[in-house]
Amino acid sequence: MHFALPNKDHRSSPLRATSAVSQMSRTYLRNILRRPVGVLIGVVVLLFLYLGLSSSGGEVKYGNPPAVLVTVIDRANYSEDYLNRVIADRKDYAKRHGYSVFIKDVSDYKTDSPYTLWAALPTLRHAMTTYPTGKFFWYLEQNAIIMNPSLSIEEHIMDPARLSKLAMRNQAVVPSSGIIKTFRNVNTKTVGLVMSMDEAGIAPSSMVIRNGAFAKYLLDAWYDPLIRNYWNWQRDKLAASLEHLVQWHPTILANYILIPQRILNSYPTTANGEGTYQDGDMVVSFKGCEAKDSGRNCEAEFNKYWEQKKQSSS
Amino acid sequence: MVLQVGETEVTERAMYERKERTEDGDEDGGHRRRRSTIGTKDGPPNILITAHPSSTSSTSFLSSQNYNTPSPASLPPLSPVPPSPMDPEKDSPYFSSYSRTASPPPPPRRGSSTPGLSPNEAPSSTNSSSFFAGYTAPSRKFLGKHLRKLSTTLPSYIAPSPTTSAASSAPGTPYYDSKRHDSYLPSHPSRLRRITTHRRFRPLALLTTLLLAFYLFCFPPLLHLYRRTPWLGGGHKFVIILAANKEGGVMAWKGAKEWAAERESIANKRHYANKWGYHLEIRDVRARKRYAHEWREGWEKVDVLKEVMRKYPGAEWFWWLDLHTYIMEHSLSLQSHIFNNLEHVTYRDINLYNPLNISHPLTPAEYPYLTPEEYSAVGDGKAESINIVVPQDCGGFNLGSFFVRRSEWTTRLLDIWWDPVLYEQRHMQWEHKEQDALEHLYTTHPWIRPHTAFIPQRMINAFPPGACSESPNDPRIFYNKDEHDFLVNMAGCEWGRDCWGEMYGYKVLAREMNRGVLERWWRRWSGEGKK
Repeated sequence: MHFALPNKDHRSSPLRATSAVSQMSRTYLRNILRRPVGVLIGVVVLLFLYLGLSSSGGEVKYGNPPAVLVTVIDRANYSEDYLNRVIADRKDYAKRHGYSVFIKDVSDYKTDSPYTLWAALPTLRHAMTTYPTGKFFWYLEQNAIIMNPSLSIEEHIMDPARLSKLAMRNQAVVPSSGIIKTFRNVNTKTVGLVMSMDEAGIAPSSMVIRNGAFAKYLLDAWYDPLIRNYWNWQRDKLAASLEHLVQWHPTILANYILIPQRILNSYPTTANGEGTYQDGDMVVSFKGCEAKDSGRNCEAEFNKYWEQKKQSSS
Repeated sequence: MVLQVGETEVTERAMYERKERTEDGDEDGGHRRRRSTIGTKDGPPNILITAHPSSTSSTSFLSSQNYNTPSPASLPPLSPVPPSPMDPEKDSPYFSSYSRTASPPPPPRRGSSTPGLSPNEAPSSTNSSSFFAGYTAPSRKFLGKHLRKLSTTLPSYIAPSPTTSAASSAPGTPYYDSKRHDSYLPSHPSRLRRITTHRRFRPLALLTTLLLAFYLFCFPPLLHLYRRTPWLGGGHKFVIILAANKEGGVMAWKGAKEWAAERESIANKRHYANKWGYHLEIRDVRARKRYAHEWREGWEKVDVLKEVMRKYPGAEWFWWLDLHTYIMEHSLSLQSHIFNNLEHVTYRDINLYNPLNISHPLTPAEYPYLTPEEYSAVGDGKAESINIVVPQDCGGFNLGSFFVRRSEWTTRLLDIWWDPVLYEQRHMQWEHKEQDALEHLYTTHPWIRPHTAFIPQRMINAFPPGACSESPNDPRIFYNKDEHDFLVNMAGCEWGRDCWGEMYGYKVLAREMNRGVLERWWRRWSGEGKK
């Protein structure tokens, strides 16, 4: 029979007290709970879920040590005194926060090019092998000094909340071309590579890498012999090759955060003043002092800050 | 308007001839008439433009008319598929059924009629004389319209009674012999019928019927559902990617053989994927401007893999297949063939078969900074850590048929696989493009080795004789009929070999090898297939 309006029991009727679905599910649940078999099945399902979830999480727990300080020194070209001070500086910092220090010489890894900075990459990889449960690996160049040792890596830089405040989003990776920009949303809890940018572009002289599969992938790709021996890098090879990788490979860009320079890589002076060291900054890096034609002396610059740090701490 | 005149002349002539035939009871003429009437009513008046005015033969008139009707059934005949000129196999029984000469073309299809039907079959709906408004045949008016139609509907299988048979003994209907059909009327129920209708056996008969009905109508779809469900048969965890339309006829003209080979290859994969509930993704890999630069050639493969991974988010394993491959053993599922015991079927230590002489495992002397897993020749040895399964042929890795698993690792590999700086330096040396790039990555990037597994070539990528001419006698490379190799990859057949010929040969061979019991028995009994 067809009526003009649905009767009040019809599921479309507004006069019905409860919806058929909720009523049905309620009785259904009640029936299930009344029966022991239903309960048993539920328990078994939960157990399986629990086992499945717990077994899938069988990965390495990182965090011991919380961070490893990685530096590559060049014994052939620098005085023993200077290098000892550099090492003492690193060790002092690591001791304060319970970190480890991993220091190697450039000659420890045979590289087929005279460019010594490539040694940073196998050293980082080696540090990860030596400390497989280390969480963060901070690479700091030899010609740099930690001016504010009270700042820790996991709070000052890598804390997710802090990192999402610091991150420079939608920032051109290569400022001069500006086609590829950093992502707006990078997961700060899993980000693999954090570094800063100076006036010339990205600056790998001080960078933090999170241990894990991504780090191995990044370091191996960066250290590819064809990348290393490419003839056409336009500037500092380590930086230029990373610029290239970041621009061409979204899996790297998606794990990449740029932060302001003064957070971990201040310079004594910069042209625009943005990266110039101010009291309280974590690091001073004497980038470019090693060049023969720069007229600078790395050891002298380092010693100046070394004395300044000594005075302020005493 | 000359044509117009010609038309009317021919029409009248044909009508005259037809009239004569029908009066003679000429069966052949009746047939032709039925075919010829198609479209005459609906078509435009000048559809007979090809009919020459001087044409006197009604046959030529009829055929020309047919070729001009818009009916799809009246298209010109299809050209036959070209034959396989595989000489070496000519003596083999698998190839003998296919002769070297082209078979004669099939008779052209005209109208909707099927040649060779019994003359008693009636024209379905057309009535010839009604189409020709100006023509009347007084003596045949009623009979031509109705009686003939009535008497020539579908053949009846009921034995005619003696009276009807006597009545129908008139000329034109001598097709039912009443004496012969008398035996159709059973004097008593048959033995089978007595058994099946017996009270005691009735439930059994019902059950049998139900089971048979279930098997026939419900079992195949249920089996398919089971096989493809990810948590039951797991079919939907696999995607077969078939690279079809290779180069798209840009570099060389795509002739009948190329089309035939492509059709055959697609049908083969489709049947396999349907049978086991896998996804089949047929991708068009024609030559594109995007990949035309010398540094980017061959790069399409990785792009396609990325796209397909995005398209099937629930799938785990992706099987790339080149066009010129043929799955020989459809009864083998990928699960039972490979993935149920992946760690035993594959090998991690490339030294087992190492045509490229890649030094493996990595040594601390050269790489002093790696983890124990990366120094190990077999990675961690677990199936879960395998993310790519590659066969090797005589020249190194072969990416004509390989598997990748969805994982973070694979995403990274697919991303780093093509790098412009690498290609700029190596595009002259890297003849096999993405294959060489992968070999380079495998050799120099330690993060790749612990997740790469190799599979014996004949498991997923057997070669026909002719490929890999450097090592023609290597039993690890070439297809072995006796061991029922899973797949044949006619690698390199587009350079100087006959892709279609090889594919057809393997098609015949696969059919021959996988005959069912009944078919084999029937062939033995009937003597078919014997020389």
